[in-house]
Amino acid sequence: MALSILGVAVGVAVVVGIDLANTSARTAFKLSTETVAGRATHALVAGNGQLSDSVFTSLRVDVGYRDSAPAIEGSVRMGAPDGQVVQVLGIDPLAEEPFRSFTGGPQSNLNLGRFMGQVPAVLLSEPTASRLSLSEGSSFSVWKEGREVELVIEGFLPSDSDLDAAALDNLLITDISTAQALLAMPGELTRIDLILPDSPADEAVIQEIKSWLPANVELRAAATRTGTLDQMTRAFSLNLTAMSLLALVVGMFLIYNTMTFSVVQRRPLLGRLRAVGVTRREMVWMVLGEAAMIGTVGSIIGVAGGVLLGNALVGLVTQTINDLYFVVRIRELDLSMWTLLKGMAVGLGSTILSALPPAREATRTSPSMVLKRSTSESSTREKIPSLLIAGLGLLVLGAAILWLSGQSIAWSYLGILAVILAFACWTPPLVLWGARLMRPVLGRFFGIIGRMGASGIEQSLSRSAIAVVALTIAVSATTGVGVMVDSFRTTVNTWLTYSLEADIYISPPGDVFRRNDATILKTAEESIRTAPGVAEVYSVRTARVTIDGRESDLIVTEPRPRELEPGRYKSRMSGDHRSAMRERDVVMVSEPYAFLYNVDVGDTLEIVTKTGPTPFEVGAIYYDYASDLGLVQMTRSRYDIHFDDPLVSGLAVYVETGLDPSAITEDLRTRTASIQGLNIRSNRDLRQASLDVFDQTFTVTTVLRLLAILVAFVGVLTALMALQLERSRELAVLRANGMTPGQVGRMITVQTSSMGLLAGILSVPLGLVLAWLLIYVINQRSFGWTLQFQIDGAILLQAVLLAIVAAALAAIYPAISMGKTNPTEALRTE
Amino acid sequence: MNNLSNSPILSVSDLSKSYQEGSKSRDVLQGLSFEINRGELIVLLGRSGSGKSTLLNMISGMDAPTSGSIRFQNTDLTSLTESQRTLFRRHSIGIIFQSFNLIPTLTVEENILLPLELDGSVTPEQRKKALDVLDEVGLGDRNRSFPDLLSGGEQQRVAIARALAHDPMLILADEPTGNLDFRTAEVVMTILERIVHDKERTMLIATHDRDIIGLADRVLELREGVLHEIDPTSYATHQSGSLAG
Amino acid sequence: MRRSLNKMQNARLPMAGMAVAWLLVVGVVIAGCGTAPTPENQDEPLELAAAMGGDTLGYARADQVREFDFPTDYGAHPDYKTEWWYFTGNLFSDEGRRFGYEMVVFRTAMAPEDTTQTPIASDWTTRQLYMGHFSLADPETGDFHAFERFSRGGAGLAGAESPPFRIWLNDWTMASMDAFNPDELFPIRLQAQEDGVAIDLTLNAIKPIVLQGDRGWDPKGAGAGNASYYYSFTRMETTGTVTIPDGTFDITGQSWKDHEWSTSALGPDETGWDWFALQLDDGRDIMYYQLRREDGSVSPFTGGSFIEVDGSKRHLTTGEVELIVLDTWQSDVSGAEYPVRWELNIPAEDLALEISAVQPNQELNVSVRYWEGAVDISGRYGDQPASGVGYVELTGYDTQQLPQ
Repeated sequence: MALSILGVAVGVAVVVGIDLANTSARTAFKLSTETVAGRATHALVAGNGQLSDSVFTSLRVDVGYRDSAPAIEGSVRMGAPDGQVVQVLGIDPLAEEPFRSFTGGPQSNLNLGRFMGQVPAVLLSEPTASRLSLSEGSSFSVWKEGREVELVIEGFLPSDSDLDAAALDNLLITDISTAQALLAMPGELTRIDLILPDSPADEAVIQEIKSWLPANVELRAAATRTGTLDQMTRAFSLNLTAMSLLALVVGMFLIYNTMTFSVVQRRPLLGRLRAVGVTRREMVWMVLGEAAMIGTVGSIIGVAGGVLLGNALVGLVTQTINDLYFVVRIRELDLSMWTLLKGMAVGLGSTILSALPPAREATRTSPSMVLKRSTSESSTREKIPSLLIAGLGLLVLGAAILWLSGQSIAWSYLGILAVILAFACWTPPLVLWGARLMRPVLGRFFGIIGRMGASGIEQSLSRSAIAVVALTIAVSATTGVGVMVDSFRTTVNTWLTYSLEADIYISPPGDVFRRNDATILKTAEESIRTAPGVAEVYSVRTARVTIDGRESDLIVTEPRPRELEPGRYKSRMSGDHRSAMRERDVVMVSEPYAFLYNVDVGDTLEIVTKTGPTPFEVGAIYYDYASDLGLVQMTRSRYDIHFDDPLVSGLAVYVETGLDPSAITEDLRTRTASIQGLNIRSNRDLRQASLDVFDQTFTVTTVLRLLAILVAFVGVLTALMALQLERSRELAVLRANGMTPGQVGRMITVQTSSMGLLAGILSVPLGLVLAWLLIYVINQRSFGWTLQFQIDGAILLQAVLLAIVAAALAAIYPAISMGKTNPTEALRTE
Repeated sequence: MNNLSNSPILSVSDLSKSYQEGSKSRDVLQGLSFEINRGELIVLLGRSGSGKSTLLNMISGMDAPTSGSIRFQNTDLTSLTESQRTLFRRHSIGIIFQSFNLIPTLTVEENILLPLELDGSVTPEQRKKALDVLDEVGLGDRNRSFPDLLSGGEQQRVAIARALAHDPMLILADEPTGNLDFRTAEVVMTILERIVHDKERTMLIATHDRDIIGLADRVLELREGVLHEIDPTSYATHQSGSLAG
Repeated sequence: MRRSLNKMQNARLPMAGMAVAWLLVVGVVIAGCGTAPTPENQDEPLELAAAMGGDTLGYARADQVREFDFPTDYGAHPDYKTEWWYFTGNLFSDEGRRFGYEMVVFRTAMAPEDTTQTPIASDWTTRQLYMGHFSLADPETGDFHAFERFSRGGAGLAGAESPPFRIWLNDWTMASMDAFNPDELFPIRLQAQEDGVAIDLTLNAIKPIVLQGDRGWDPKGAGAGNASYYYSFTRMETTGTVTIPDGTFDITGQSWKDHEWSTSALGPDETGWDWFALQLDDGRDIMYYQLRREDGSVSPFTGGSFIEVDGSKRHLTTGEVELIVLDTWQSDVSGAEYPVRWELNIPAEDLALEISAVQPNQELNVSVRYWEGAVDISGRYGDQPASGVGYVELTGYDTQQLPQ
C-alpha cells in the first residue's frame, strides 16, 4: 500500500513539478510583460526594429493623441559583465500616469529635474535594493554589452502601488533619456504604449492613428506580447510536458501493479466475500474505493513533492529559456491552483484507471477458485497470445496515428504512447521466453539459486512482467532521448565545424546566448579591423524585425570569399543565390524558419524596413541549429540599403596566414579592453561554448530521464515486495531446507537483476524506436530540423547497465527482508 | 529392528519454550528431556496446539528454545547462530512437511537435490545417491517432472526423497500423511517405515494419527507442554492389521 | 504678475528645494492657497529663508531693470526658474453666444544648470517642465471646461522659442503666423483642444506692448531678486472658432497676453492674490493685482497699471486702488468661497467700477485649484458711464486643498 502511494506520488510529483516550472516561467514573463505594459491596450512598434522617438513626438504634437507613453525596454547586468540580469524600463514620468504607477502619484518625492537626464537616475523596488545592498542615493554600476555604466538610485518604487511585488523585482525604472544612453539606443524607443478607446464611436481615432503611422511602424494589441512567450517556447514546453507525462505513464504501471497485487493478495478473502453474497458490483466499488484512497493520498503527497521538484526544476527551465529565448527572472514558484488541482486529478484519475482491470479481476473471483494459487499466474500465461495480438494492434494504431496526425505534436506523442503500450503488451511474453532462456545460463553461474531466480520471474509473471515493463519504458525513454540528444549534438557539432570557419569570433556579452543582438561599439570595431595580424573581418548583425507580420531574428552577414559547401543548403534557387542576395532583395531562411512558416525557395517574405514592408525573395533554405525559432539571413549590402543601422553584433576575424590565432586573440583583448568588454573567442572556444549551452539545454531532459528511472525503480521495488508476500511460504520451505538468508538474498538479487537485464535488453529496440520517432517525428514536427540519426553503442550499453543497476538496487531491501523469512512458516498449515 | 545404538544422536534436556503474549508469557514446552538413538523411529503424539510443531522447529534449529539444550552428538544447537543452525539443518536434518512443500519451479530431481545444491555443486556420487533415494520411494522415472504434475502422494514421496537425499542425521516429519487420503497415507507410511528400518535412518514423526504408532520404536506424547513416554504396545489394539507386516 | 505657477514655486519652499513637479503643484497649496498661516509656518522663518536661498541658488534673478530684446524675449528664459505665457479673452459669436477663454503655458526649471555634472546625452534630457492650462467658460449653459497637461521640455514634446515665436505643449500651440517674417510676433494663432472642447484663435495686437512695473521689472516682494520681468499685450483683436460639445462657433472678441519670468517673487507671508485684467470699452485697460497676506492685510507690493488708449502707462501704487467684495460663490468641488462681484475704485482717476463674473463657476479643478474667469464691467469714469469686459484670477481661496 505504501509503495503504491509512493508510485502515485512520484508520478504526480513529476507532472506537477514540470507543470509548475513551465507555468512559473510563463507567469513570470506575463507578469513582467504586464508590468511594463501597464494599462496599455495597444502598442506601436517598429517592424524594422528601429522606432524613432520622433514618432512619439509626432504622435503627441501633430496627432495630439495623449493616451500614449514612450517605453524603452532592455536589460543590464548588475555589478559585473556577467552579473545578474535585471530588466530596465525607460519611461517618461510625465506620460506615465494613465499607464503605470511607477513614479507614484502626487505624493511622490521624485525629483524630476534630476530624473529627466541630469543624472543617470533609476528607481527600483526597496526589496531589490536591499537584496543588492544598495541604499537610496547610492550609486552602483551595471554592465551593458561590455560597457560599464554608473547609475544612481534616485528613489524607490512605491511599495503600496497596485503592482505585484514580484513584478517589480529586478526592475530598474529610468527616464527615457537615461535608458537611451544606457541601452545605446540614441533617438530610439522600444515601443509606444497606447490606450485606445474601445467604443465604436472612437473608431475614427484609431483610423486616424493608423493612417498617420509611418510605414515601418505597426499598431499591435498589448495582449500579443504575452503570446510571444507561448509562441517561442511552445515546442520546448510541450516536450517537457510530454516527458513528465511519460513519468506518469510509468507510474500508472506501478499503480496497476500494486492494485492487482492487492486484489491477488486477497483472493481468498474476496472469494469468501463472494461466497457470503457480496455482489460483483459491490466488489468493483470496493476495489475502486481503495484505489481512490490510494490515489488521493498519493496525489496529495505527489502534489507536495511536485512543489519541491518544481522549485528545483524552475531554475533549469529558466536557465534554458534564458539561454535560448529571452531573459526572464522567476523569483518564486507560481503555485497555480489550477496546476495543483490538475495534478490531483491526474493522480486520482490514473490510479482509478489503473485499478479498473484488477477490479474486474476481483469480480471474476469465484468461490471455488480460492484455493488454487496458481490460477492467476497460469491465466497470465494463457493471456500471452492475446497480449501479442493486442501489442500488434496498438503498434498498428500508433503507426496510424503518427501517419495521420500531420504536424500535430500532441497527436504525435499519443502515437508514440501507443507504440510504447504495444511494447508493453509484448513484454510479458518476451519476459517469459527470456526467463526460460536465461534459466540454464543462470543455473550454470549460480547453480540452483540461479535457476530458481530465473524460474521466479516466470513463476510470478504477472508481477515481474509489469515491473519489467515499467523499467523497460523508463529505460527506453532514457535511451530514446539519449540517442536523440546524441544525434542532435553530433549534428550540431558537425554544423558548428563547417559554420565556424574564421579564426576568432568577437561579440559583446549579451543576455540570451542564442539570440545575441547586442552591438559592438564603432570604436571597438575599428580597433579590431585595424589590428595587426588581422587579415579579414566579416561582420554579423542580429536584428529583431517584423517578417511576414511576425517578429523574427534577421541575421545580416557580409559574404565571405570562400564558397560555401552545397551541403549547407537544404534547397536553393536555380542560379547563384549568393550573388542574387548581394544584388537583389533576396534572403535565405533557416530550415526551422522554412518549416515553421511553411516557406519555400521562390516564396516572398515581407520584411519591414525603414520604408515599410518590403518584399524579399527566398533564395535558399540553409541548415541551421542555432535557433529553433527560425532565422532569416540577409547580406550586409542589402541591409544597409533598407535599414539605418550601421551597428554590428559580431565580428569574424581571419588571421593572416602563419600567425598564431591565440596570440592575436590576446592582442585583440588588450586593444579593446578599455573600449568595451567583448567576448573574444577562438574558433574552438566558441564551438565549446556553443556545445556547453547545448548541453545545458538538455539538463532538464536529463533530470526527467532520471525521474522516470526513479519511478521505474519504485516499480521494481513494488513488484519485489509483492513477490515477498506471495512467496513467503516457498521461501520458508527453502529456508527450512537449509537455504541461508544470504542465499535467499542472492536468489532475489539474481532474479531482480535478471529482470533488470531483460528490461535493459528489451529497452534497446524500444529506445531506438523512440529515438527514431523523437528525431523524425517529434523534432521534425516541433522544429523542422534535419538531424543525423546517430547510434552510440555506449548509450545502449549504458541503458542496459542502468536497468540492471536500478533493478539490483531495488532488490537490496526486499532481499534483506526476505532473507529474514522465518522457516517455521513452512510447517504452518494453510 | 535395531534400536540399540551406542549413543544417542540427539539429547534434549530440560527444554522449555514460552511465548510472550502481550504481558503474559505462555509456556508451550516445559522442561522436556529425551534422547533419540540412531535407527529409531519415534512417533511424537499430541493434539493440535500441544507444542509438537514447536518442538520440531527447535530440533530443526528453525526456532530457539527459551531454556534447555538440544545436542546432536557433538553439536549443541542452542549455542549456534541462526546461520550456523541453517547450515546444520541443511547438512544434518531432513524435513517432511504435511503439505509437501515442493518448490514448484524446480523439477523433482532439482527438488531432491536442493539441500545439496544449496551447499554448492553436487558430485556425481551425490546425484546418484539422490536418484537412488527417488527409486526408493518408487518415483525413479519421474525425476524430470515438475511437482504440479504429480499427485499428492507422489509429491509427498518426492518430499520424503528430498529429506533423505543428503543423508541426514535425523529426519523430521510433521504430519506426513495429514494431507493425504487413507490409501495414499498407507503407502507413504509404508515407505517411511521402510526407509527407517532398512537403512538405519533415524526419524521423528509428529502426528496425531495414532495409526502410525504401530511403526514406532518409541512413542512420545506431548500433553500441555509436558512429554510423556508411552508404551507403544498399549496402543496395539488400535493397530491396523494391514500395518503388521 | 500672476499666478498658479508662481504659487508652485512658493510651495517648494517648505520642501527644502526638492524640484518635484506635480507634487510641487499640489504642495503649493500648503504655503499658498491653503493657507492660512499655521503656527508651524511662523515657527520656521529661518528654514524657509534657507530653503528659499537653496531653491534659487544657481538661477538667474530678476534683480534689476534690464533691456528687453525682442523678438528673442518673446521666447523662453530657461535660466530663470519660472515663466509663463498667458492668454485670456472674451469672445462673442454672431449668434449672440459668448465665451471666456484662458490658455496658458507655464515653464519651470526643475534644477539649475549644474556645471559639475554632465547631463545624459539624449534629446529627452531636460531641466524644463511645461504645464498647460486651458479653460473655456460658457455662460449660456453655465458649463466651465478646464484642462491641464504636463510635458517635459525635451524631445520636441514642449518648448518655447522665438524667433519665430512658437510655444507648444504637445498639440497645444501659441505661434506666430507670419511665415515670411519670423521676427514678427503677430498674428498669433492659439490652438488648444481636449475632450471635444477647442479654440482656434487668431490674435492681432491693437495696442502696443506694455512693460509692466519699472520698465518691465516688477518687484513682488521684499529683498533683491524677489521680482519678475513682465510685459503685456493688453488688447488684441481676436477671431476664430470655439468648439464645445454642442458645436463650433465663429467668434470675434478681444484677448490679453501676459509674459512673465522670474526666479522668486512672492514673499513668504503672502497667501494669495486677486488679479484683474480689465478692458474698458473706451479703449483704456487696467491691470491690477492685490497680494493678500496671512493676516488678511494687503501686501505693500500690490500694484497695477493704467493704460491709455495710445498704450501709455501709469503705474498704480498700493493704496491707490480700493477693492470691495460685493458677492461670493462657493464651489461644490472644493468648497472654496470665491468673490465673484466687486466694487473697484480708483479715486485719483475718479473711476468707480462694478465687476461681476459672467458666471460664478469658473474654478479650474486642476493640480492647484484656482478661479480664473471672464467678467463684465459697468460703472462710471468721471461722469461718463463705463463698461467693458475682463478677466480675473483668484488664488489661495481653496483651503481644502491641503496636503495630508
